[in-house]
Amino acid sequence: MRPPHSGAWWLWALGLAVAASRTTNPVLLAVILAVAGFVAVHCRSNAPWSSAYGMFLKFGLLVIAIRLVFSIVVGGITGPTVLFTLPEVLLPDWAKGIRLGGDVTAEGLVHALYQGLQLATLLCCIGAANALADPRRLLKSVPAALYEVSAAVVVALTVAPQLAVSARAVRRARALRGDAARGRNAIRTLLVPVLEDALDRSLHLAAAMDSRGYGRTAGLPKRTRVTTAVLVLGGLIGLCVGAYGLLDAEAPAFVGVPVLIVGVVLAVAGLVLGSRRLARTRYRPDRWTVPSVLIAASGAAAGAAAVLAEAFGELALIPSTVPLTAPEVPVVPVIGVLVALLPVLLARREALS
Amino acid sequence: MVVRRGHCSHAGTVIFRLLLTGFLASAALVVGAPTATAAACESTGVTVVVDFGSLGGGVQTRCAPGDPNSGLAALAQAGFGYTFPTRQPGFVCRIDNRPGPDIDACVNTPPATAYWSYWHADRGGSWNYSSFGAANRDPASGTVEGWSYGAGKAPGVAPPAKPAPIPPVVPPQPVPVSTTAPPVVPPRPTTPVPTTVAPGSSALSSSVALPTTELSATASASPVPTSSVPESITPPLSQPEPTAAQKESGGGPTTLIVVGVVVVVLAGVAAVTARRRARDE
Repeated sequence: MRPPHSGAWWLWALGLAVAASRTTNPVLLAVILAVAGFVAVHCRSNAPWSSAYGMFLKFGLLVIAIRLVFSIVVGGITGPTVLFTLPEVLLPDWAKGIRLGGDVTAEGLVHALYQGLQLATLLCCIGAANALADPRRLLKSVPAALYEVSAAVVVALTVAPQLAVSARAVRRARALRGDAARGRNAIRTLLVPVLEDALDRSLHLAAAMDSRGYGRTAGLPKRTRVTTAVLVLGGLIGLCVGAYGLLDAEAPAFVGVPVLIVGVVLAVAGLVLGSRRLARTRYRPDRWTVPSVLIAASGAAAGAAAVLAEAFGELALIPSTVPLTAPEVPVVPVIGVLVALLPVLLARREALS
Repeated sequence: MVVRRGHCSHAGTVIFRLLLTGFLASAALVVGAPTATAAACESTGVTVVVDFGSLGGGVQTRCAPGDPNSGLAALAQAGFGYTFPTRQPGFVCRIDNRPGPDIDACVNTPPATAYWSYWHADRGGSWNYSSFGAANRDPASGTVEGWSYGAGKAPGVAPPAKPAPIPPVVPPQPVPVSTTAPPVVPPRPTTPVPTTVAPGSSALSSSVALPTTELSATASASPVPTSSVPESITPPLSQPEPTAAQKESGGGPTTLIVVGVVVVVLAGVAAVTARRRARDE
């Protein structure tokens, strides 16, 4: 049986990430973390990058710690419940908006904790995708015409899994030499070789892409090249500006939807033009089989449940921190996120058959 | 510590009586230690002016006694409850539970067209839009703080001027609306007729500099729907009222326990599996 489409795992993880981005409720975030971790552990292959989830989990803990430290030192959100008071550094009048030290309140800490937990959960969703999806197979499915940006896309998409692979290889190599450093010492001795190795791997991959025709410029008339580059880059810029215009309430109306549409049209035109000059065959391409579609749909269900609950005025998604209240359980989004456990059932059925 | 206020219909009679006797009276009764009064401050304290604008309720002027250390503290000590949006605490999305959940759910930062803008001024001066957040600004005692609902428009009344420095005179008759007559101040000579600010006319009067006396401030504060007036000054923060959606879907403790068990089981099984797989490899 063929493994699911790599894109399906990314869509599944992005659905969970959408759910996480709509809430700071620690209960819902914990459910998302648990579901993503459970699926990542059960459905991963034995590929070297499949330990990525653990790496992202540790990174998430670091994010929470940094967020808490900043909330203690710089403050921001304050409430009536003062836990302890740090010596306050008096800033000049023009910097009065910033507070250094001073009262540390329970409300501020809980707010920072919720926000840090949200960011950590988003990271772990991406970590689950990295652990589950084969980055090279995913690249095979990328349209051949992401021509001008392909090298950047390759490096960006593979750097996390490559880091996981490199960390493992370097640690094993050091262990074989009798240096089983852990903790802070390990970071000092591992950091440079791991980063160097990961970068090397990404560059190798980019070179391999180049040798297969991605970003190839030889033998093409200059006019075609420039046209494609302008179309693709213009389209991407249009997408960015349009998305910003949509999200910014103050932006003039013509910056939103129209620019977005122009960006999409330009990008599609560029992709079509680019792919026309590149003939590429695929060996055993990934297919959107029924399990793949179900995996993607279960992730989408999790995201949709959270977005719909928010649209229908579910207040439990964002629990109040000033004043402090015990978070309630947003039932519909929790059920939606539990639907994202479906890949485990699919994998089990496959193992039995 | 309870602030009692005259009923709306009584306000007119009170004004006429006081006009006849030539005295101004504050309808607010203060019991015990210094606490919020429903009028501009005398000499010390921070005067807080809240303009409810399109929400109805007119302009309310109250006094936060002493020297509150932030704009929010002044607001609370003047007896106004406020609510933060849950996603962005620090902004103020409701004062005295207004606007209600039908206008603003109080989750995100309110839009720039309908929010509580924060102003400050000297007594009898002009309004300045605050460049600091209400939590970060320490208002000096004897100044005025303004809150105005809308698209960032200054409060509809001018900052109340300082009362004339004349020692208080005890009125001959107790005023009917208040159980005990508080110290009252005679009108300044420049103000022949005290003007009252009707709640509905606050938007119209925004450009008119009203003769701001103790009485006008009092009268503007008194016609308030009793439901929104806090009986007690103590709670500084008001809870957002639960909506139907929240009541429906917010699970009780049982749901929380069930979800907690699910999370623990999932995380536990995942950890065990991860360990087993790491050993096998």
